[in-house]
Amino acid sequence: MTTTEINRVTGPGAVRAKARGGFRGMRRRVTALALGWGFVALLLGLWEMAGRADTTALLPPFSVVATELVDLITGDALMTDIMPSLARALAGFVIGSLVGVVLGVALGWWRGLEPWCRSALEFLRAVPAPALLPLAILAFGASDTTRVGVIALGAVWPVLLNTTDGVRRVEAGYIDSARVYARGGRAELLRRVVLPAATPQIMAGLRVGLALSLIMMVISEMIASSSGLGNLILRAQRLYALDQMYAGVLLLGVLGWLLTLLFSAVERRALAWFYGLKGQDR
Amino acid sequence: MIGLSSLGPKSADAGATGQTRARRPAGTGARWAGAVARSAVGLVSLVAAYELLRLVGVLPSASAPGVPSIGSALASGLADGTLAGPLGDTAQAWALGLALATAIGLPLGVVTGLSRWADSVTGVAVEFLRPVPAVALIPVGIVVFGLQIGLQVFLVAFATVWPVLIGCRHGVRTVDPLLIDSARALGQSRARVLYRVIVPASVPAFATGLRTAAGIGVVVAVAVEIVSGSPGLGYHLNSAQQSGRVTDAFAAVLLAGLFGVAVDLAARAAENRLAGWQRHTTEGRR
Amino acid sequence: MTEQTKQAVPMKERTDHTLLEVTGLGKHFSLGTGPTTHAIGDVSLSVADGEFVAIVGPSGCGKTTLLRCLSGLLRPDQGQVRYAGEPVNRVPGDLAIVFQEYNRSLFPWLTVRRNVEFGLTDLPRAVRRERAREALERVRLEGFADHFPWQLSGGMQQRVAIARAIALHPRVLLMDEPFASVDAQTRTALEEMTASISAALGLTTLLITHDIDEAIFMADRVVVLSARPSRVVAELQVDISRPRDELAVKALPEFSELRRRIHDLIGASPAAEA
Repeated sequence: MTTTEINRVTGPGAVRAKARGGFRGMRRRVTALALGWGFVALLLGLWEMAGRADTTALLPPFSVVATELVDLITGDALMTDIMPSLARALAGFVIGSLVGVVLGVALGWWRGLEPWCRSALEFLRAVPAPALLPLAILAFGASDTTRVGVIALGAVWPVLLNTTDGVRRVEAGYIDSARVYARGGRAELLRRVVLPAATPQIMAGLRVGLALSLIMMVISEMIASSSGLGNLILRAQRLYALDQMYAGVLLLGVLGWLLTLLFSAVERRALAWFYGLKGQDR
Repeated sequence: MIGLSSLGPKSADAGATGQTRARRPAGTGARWAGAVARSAVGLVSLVAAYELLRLVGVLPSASAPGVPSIGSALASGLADGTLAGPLGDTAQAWALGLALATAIGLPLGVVTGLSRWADSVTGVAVEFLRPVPAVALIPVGIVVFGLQIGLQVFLVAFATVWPVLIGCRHGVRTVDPLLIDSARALGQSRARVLYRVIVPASVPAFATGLRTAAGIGVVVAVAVEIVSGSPGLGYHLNSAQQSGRVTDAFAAVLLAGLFGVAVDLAARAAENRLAGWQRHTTEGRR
Repeated sequence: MTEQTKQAVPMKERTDHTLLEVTGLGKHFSLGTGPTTHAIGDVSLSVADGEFVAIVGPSGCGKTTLLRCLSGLLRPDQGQVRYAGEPVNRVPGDLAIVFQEYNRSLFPWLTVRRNVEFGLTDLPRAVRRERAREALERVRLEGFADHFPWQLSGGMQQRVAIARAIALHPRVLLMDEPFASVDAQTRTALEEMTASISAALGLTTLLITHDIDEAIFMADRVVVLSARPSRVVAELQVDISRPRDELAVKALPEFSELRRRIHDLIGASPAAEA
């Protein structure tokens, strides 16, 4: 076969198209977003009407809550409650994730450990993280360290277990290739092949860990703190300042949404290759 | 959609892999006993590590009681009902919340899986509501439900509807088109294709979503009880902590952990029964 | 005549020096207390420096297991493998493998270029780049260096795998049913490409395949294995001159004769298992 024939059969024309895009794809996505946002607007409108019609003052209209929300962000609460909350949540998440990844890699790498550790790990994982909070307070008192520690404890399990899983399930073919082409020892194998291959699974674990960090942050502030968003919301409920309560809840939702969005963006960059790969497998 | 990819077959809650199908060839009795023995050693080591930490002082011995005392507190609490009652309350809230979540999440998941239109409409709302931590809604729930079981059920349901919904949606979405085409080619009407092909084929994804939901449900139920004081293990734990009854507090946590283990085992068993067949097909990769 | 053969590349002189020697190889697998699978019964063969040997056999006869034992990826239970006189304990540094499933052996998080450069970390950057460029040129994928493997078709991905192998400047090339997952038209092109690369670089090549035509077309010698537990049933010399053009060669009477003989040999050996 000549060069041109080879290229016709296996050349540029054979390269699979990348993400299904183009004009039609764009239009479809825009319509979907429009429909989605339209529905949300509808729900908010219902909230507004229900709030106005409500005589028990239990449900303030959306506009009132929104105004209160803006006040929260622009007022003192930003420094006294919102930032500390975020800081605690992120600190706990980072610590828990680091510990989880390191231990997860160790557990996934040395398979011999698994049968010994399995039951103990399953039990520890099944203990609801919120339940550890009162115990931690008993043992160490209600300080920021305790709070961050419990947040980390909540985040560590999904990260650890997913990392272990990811490391263990690395495609055998990659390992074979590494044995032929990577002449270094096991450290090199780990760094160049196992970790990249396990990254999708690790990311999945990190995502759950992030959600758990937020949950633990809220709980730790509700029962063991005098500052923070969780505390603010509970305080508002007790004082029947329902506007502020709803605003706080809404703010928490928005923060959770923003963090998730941020995480997804990071994930997309780190796993661009994975999405492409899976796209082809379809 | 943002983030939904992470709840596909490679479920974010992957954890340890599920139990293997029990088709025991002869001679594995000894191997099984070996596995159990090793797990037991693992648990014993865990207990030993805890005691060691107490001894060394990392864990203050005043507020971290020894394992034997925790054990006896647990046993007596179960026997005389002081622990059994709260356990029942938590279990009840968990079960009802999960049932409610399934009742809402399953049909919604199927509908959004089948209809692109429905998916688009609900898409943004789901993406907004999903990351809201259920515990953040506790004060709202207190306002609406007071300190009764409705509070826990509502919040457990709110937290657990998402994995169920997304699991079902994913299951319906990823049914092998070849299966559908085959059924249509055999002359089945759309409705029959739906309940004879699509629904059975999406059961595994639903089962996985349910398992995730079950775990989340335990966490949320306990959390709600701790914060709000509604009846259950969490409330019992909290009151024990506040009155300094350390051993009781630890016993309550231990029981919560055991409950979590029981839930997880039951969920895995259910998943295996519902989805076991998938493991044997080429699509069984998780 | 293919274009490749017109390139003025000196052919390495073939010597009668035995490079790879296998004696009495045996390998079995057992799952705990379950039944034992005897993959390889008793295989002995030798490969001379610069030779192109194809190994054929019925499905499931342990060809892949044999390749893994030869390369050092797997330890045999009986017998020995010697490479350049030394026993094989791990994968030799100048041995490269092209695996059957390209999508499970090329790294999807690396570009084509990075994949090809993967085995060259000991070399300075400039040398690495040059070797990769040269290898990609040989497999005619120069323009795709910055693509990802999964963006390419199956045949192209396998070419990347070949490039990765030859970038190592290996002495021995092992190929495990490399073209089985590729469509028929592409397969022919890849066979010709591989044959010419092997000749141009003077590689000692061992090809595992179930495709008899492919074996005869590419090899100097065809080794026929029996069904499981496998042993060498026959070794046939392929005395067709190189360079070989696909269509011309397959029309030769010698080709049909060889094909018939090998076919009979494979069919005649009793199947231990279905």
